[in-house]
Amino acid sequence: MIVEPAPRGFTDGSHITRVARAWARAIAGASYVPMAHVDIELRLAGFTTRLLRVLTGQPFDPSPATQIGVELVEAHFASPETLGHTISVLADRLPPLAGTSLDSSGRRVMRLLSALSVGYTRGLRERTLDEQESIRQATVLAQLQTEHALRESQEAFRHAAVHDQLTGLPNRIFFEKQLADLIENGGAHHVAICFIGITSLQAITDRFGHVLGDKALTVTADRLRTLARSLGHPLARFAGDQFVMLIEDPAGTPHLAGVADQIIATLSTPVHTDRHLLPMSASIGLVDRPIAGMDANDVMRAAGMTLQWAKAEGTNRWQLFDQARSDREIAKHALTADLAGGIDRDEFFLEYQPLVRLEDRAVIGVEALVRWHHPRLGRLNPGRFIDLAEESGQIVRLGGRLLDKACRQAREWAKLTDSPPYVSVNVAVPQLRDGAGLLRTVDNLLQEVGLAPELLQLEITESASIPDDPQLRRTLDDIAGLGVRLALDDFGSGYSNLGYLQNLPVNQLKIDMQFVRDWKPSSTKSLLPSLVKLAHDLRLSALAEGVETLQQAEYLESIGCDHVQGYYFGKPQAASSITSLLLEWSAEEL
Amino acid sequence: MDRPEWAPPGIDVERPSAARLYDYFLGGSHNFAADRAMAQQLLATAPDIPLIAQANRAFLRRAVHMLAESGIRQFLDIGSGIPTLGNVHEVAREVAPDARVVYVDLDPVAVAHSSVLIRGQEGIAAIQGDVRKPGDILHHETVRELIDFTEPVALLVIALLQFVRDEDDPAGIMAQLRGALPSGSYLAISHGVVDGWRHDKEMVKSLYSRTTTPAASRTRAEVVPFFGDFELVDPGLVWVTQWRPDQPSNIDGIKAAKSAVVAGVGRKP
Ligand SMILES: C[S@@+](CC[C@H](N)C(=O)[O-])C[C@H]1O[C@@H](n2cnc3c(N)ncnc32)[C@H](O)[C@@H]1O
Repeated sequence: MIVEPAPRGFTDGSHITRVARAWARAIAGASYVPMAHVDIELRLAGFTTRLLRVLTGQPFDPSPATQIGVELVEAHFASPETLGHTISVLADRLPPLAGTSLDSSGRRVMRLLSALSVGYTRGLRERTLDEQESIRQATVLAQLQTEHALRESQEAFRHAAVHDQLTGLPNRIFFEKQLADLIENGGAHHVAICFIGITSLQAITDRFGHVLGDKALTVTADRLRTLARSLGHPLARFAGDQFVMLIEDPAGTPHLAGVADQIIATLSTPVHTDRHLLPMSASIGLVDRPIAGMDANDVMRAAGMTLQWAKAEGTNRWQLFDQARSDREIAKHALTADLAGGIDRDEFFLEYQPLVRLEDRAVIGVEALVRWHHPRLGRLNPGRFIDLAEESGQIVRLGGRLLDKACRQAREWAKLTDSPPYVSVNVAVPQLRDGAGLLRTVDNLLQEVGLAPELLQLEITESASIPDDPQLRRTLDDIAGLGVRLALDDFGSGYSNLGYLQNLPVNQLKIDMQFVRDWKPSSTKSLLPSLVKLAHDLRLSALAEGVETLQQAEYLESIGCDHVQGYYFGKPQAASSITSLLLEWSAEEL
Repeated sequence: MDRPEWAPPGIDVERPSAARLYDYFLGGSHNFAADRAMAQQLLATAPDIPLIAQANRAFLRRAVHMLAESGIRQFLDIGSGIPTLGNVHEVAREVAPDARVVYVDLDPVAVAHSSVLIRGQEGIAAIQGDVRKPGDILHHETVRELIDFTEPVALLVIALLQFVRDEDDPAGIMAQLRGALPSGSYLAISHGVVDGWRHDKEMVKSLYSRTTTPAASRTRAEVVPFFGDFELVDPGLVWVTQWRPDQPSNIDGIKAAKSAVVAGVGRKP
């Protein structure tokens, strides 16, 4: 800060300083001045000196005081209070400094201070206007910036909402919108959906973690993007490892097949990373439909289903949508959905097919066969629903119900005759897996119904899993331990490790009907004798299924087969028919 | 209309803003009718506020001066407000013409105003940022450009934290900010506290709750932890007027007790 020299001859610096200090004290707090206190005093001392010069000037001209007023404001001594305090301090202090009294120099001081006030007020007004203007401009600017930022973030948000972060491809929402637009606006006649599943991805993620999984995915996405661009078809990442390509008006199935082959070729190239060579594979489901009347949801569902078919075929395959197959699967699906309710509503019932002893044609047992009285589809045979029940896990509950019915029926027959038939009930592998549950059910039932255990037989299908599964073996042993009979169903139809038969606690081999059906009186090659012998060697009884003619029966008798089952001896029938049959027999015996 | 969460805060000149109120109290005219109406209400309850604001601003000046003299060349001023008088870059550049400064404020008008003011000056920038998202500030492109986090930095958090309520975790925010600074860095804090407050606290608080940034009330003891392991330089965390005053104790000194703002500067060991 420069202190202007005091006008010579009037006063010395210390007087000036004292006035400046008093002035500073008077205006302290009236406004904020961004200066250290000493600097404020220096600055005020400068003003004081100048004012003194104006006051004592010859001739007297107060106008420079106006400028000092402006400068005061410029130095940020800027508030109404500052002016007020300034005037009172200066009115008091300037005249003594000038060596005169206020009275003698009154007019001059007054004119000086009024000039200062004019300058000060003008400065303050200018400053206020400037500041108002600058904040207004800042507001306008900020408004523009905010709107811009808002627009950008909305843009970004909109982009993010319809694009996949990892691959940058349009996402499912975007794709669905695109498809909906296409359906709505027409333009194309046909559209094909190429639904791509990267089948290798799960294994990569499982083995190498998400980072490499994502890496493989982005590389795949890039490859697909390049291909899609060159083909001119829009592409989206549908979900996880699924991509979808939209083909407008494809030039027939061969064209689609060509695209699918190209995609698979592109995607099945391994992905290189720093340390790994990741084998890649893909499957594709193709759906080609006319746009007219298209339902986007339905097309995508069809595409998803077709992709599943392709996956089931093996790796790097594609499949074309097949309406008949789809209908079947949908029907199957519906049926599965009906199962649980059907069990609740007791829509399942049993029919019984005689198991006959060849020796005397006596009915020594019956096989209980399940039927479903479906409210819409009518009577259904087990072939239609047993697999579904197994897949959906309903088989355990259903099996339990059927066992109950069968045991109660067996008990009825036991009351009726002295040599009642045993009832043979099929049990499925899931029921066996529920070993303890099955054992408990059977045990409780026998007790509750009061049925002799040997009047119940459980049929298990010859299955590859039984011999290797100690748990299942134990269950069979336990059930046999109750005294319940066990039969091995469909014997010879599947994989058999003959070795395990030795130790299996079964009583009967039920020889699969295919052997009987294939047998001709002229046949020289038949496995039937060997199968019967095998049963006997294992000390099991042999029962031949599917016997439909007298000739077959006689042949079986000739090779020593013990029991038979088949239309020739009786179809599956209502319990009441079996009852009549039994009554006839016992009457004959009497 | 629903504002998306990621949108920058809007500009509503009908709603008083802490930045413009503060300018008004410092004698500035960078404010609107709504601000002035609110200021009048505040003044009716607490007529000392302009003095408090001045004392706070004076502390900022003294602190920046001292930091520049200690060799600091980069300043991050969060909650910088509307540049009125004695801005950080002006004070710092008096000592060190190469000092670099980044001003950060939540108020878009304050930021716009700052950017106009510093336009064309190299090494100075103003960005919009929310101290409640310290990561965003620390990783802001402009901040990264101007501030080298391997060299000591002065972090200025002046009269800001009283606008950060406890539920926004000011302790966590400060820890994150401190953590980003290298050893030898400084942290200057001033904070409005209620210890010495002689006016109606609740009234002031409720008035500020109508602004874009409602106030929190804390005591001096609650401000201390914001320094973390930084070592407070002399004279510690004191009334804002008592922090290295540049004048013999006078009116301001007397006002110290009622200034209602504590201030301190800490150094990262
Ligand atoms: C009282 S002023 C202080 C200005 C300046 N630091 C000073 O002391 O002179 C408080 C400033 O903090 C700003 N502010 C309030 N909340 C904030 C937040 N969450 N993030 C950044 N700035 C904020 C306000 O917009 C206002 O400009």
